[in-house]
Amino acid sequence: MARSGHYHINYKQEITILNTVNRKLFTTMGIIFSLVLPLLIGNYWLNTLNFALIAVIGALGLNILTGLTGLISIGHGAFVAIGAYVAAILSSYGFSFIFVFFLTAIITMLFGLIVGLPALRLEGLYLAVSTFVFHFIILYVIAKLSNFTGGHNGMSIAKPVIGSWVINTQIEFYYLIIPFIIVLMIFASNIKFRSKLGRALVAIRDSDVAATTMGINLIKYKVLAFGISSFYAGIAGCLFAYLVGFISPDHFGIEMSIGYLAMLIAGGMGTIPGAVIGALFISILPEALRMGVNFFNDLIPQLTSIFALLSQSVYGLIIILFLMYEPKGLYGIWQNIKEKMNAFPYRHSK
Amino acid sequence: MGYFLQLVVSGLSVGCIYALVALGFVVIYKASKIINMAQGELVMIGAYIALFFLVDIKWNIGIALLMTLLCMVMLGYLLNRIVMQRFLEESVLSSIMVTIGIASFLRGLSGIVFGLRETRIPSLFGDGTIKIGSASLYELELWTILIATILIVAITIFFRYSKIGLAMRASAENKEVAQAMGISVTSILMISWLIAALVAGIGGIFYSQINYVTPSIYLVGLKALPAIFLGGIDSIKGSIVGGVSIGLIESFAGGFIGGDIKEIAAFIVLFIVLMVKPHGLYGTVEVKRV
Repeated sequence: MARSGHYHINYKQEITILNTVNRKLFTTMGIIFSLVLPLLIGNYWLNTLNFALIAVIGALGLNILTGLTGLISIGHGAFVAIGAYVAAILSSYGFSFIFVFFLTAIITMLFGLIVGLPALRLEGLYLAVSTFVFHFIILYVIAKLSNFTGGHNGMSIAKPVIGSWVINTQIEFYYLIIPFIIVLMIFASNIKFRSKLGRALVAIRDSDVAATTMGINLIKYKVLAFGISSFYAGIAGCLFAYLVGFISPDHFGIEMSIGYLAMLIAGGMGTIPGAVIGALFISILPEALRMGVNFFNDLIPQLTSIFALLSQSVYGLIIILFLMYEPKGLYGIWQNIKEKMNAFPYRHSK
Repeated sequence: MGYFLQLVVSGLSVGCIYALVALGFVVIYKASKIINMAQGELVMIGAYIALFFLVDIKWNIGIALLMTLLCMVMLGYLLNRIVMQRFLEESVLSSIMVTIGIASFLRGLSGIVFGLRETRIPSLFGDGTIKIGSASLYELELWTILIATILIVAITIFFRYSKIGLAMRASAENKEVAQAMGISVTSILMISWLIAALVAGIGGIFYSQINYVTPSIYLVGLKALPAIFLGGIDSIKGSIVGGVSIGLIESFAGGFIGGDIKEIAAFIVLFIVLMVKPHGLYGTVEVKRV
């Protein structure tokens, strides 16, 4: 059966990111929607949304490491913590926001490159456990270096200032983050779809021995994957520090690292829309749950007191259910629906 | 010298508990190549169930402990039957994340069911101390070492000489051949989960004797993680050696260096082990085939 659709006839079409009318339309609508959204919702939800957007940046970074390269890291939150503390320390010396931002990203990337080196020896389970442990060690070191970081008492960070624009309110912060997200998403999709780097990373994920025989330098690309993912984590940490205004080791518990992996699983491993959807989903989930609890508050008043526990078990349940029933995540569900729609009167399109 | 002996005994008693919990990790890993990150949560739930039977409804010690272990076995059965059986052939990431999901779920659930109290289970073996030279040793710790040793020996004998133990070792060696010989790999996985839940429950009861029953007992599971990697992830002997060493290392770090280094010492050891000798002392070195 001949099917209408979009076919590539040359390489240029192959590497175009927005290659169909629909994609262009959806992207434009998405950008317009994201610019109008803060005018429609209150300050509380805006705050939640800001945290969710920062999580999106972190998840995009982990997606490059775990989704594309297949190196499992349960220590991504450690890099976010490093980013946040580097930003806080730099800004305490009076550097301007833009300078702190770029320097933080680069310093965190260097950390990632250094951590990536010993990780070359390890694979799969061993890498997962060593990154997991790395998170605990980094938190311990941060708490011990109390001269720089304030230890368990935490340290505060001034409001970001660009030129004469002091970013004070949530809505201003939202408009500060959005351009970064757009740029970083374009950067991530460039890596994934149209660079030698992205193809090399996917080859390493699928079989590193085969990749080596094709002439891919394993050491270079694995370390680079660590570097890029911590570059994203550094940016996320920097924005997080500025948004919260006060950071302490408690902000960066192991739950954060696990959360980033949960985002990829809930959204869809290895896909950029998946990382974005998953990060928004996991970050907004507790707030949605809170709404539900408030709704049932009259019927079962005890619910409010066990809210934290409830949200923890729901969170665990969601990870389990996604892995059991839809390992491709929310984006996978969306693609299934799209396929069903395409083939509509029939059950299968091919 | 007395101080040293005290440190050794307290390190050994905690180390024996780590060894018990680590045994659960190893058994599940051998059956399914999965690291069960929810092992610590099983320990916590074991402690809370024991607390419920012993303190809340004040049953006789024997019946209460038996019921606790029965509940743990049931929990292990349900976890494996509903969730873990499906992850026998899944990727490393899925299987490790599903156990992390279970861990989070169990932590929340146990908080809802048992509350977040911090109490102590009345000691089963008395609270006295024994004087040896200048050292005063807690009776409780000595009993813990004794009973944990007996249990560990019993489990080792079970693995070495019973028919089920033989089947478990065979299926860990090579699943396909074991299946061809008539060993059901799924029931081996089930037995491993039952054993893991059982030893976690026992570990929970002992640990809550030495320390308080708190929601943070699940950290024992994280402490047993260094133990299994130090000893070798698929070696029963390794888990025992690793558990005892981690207990001693922690005790000495706390006793001689001091401060909160005790909390992190095990993780530093784990990090070094993973960097230097990832397969541990007795673990089988995996050879990757292309």
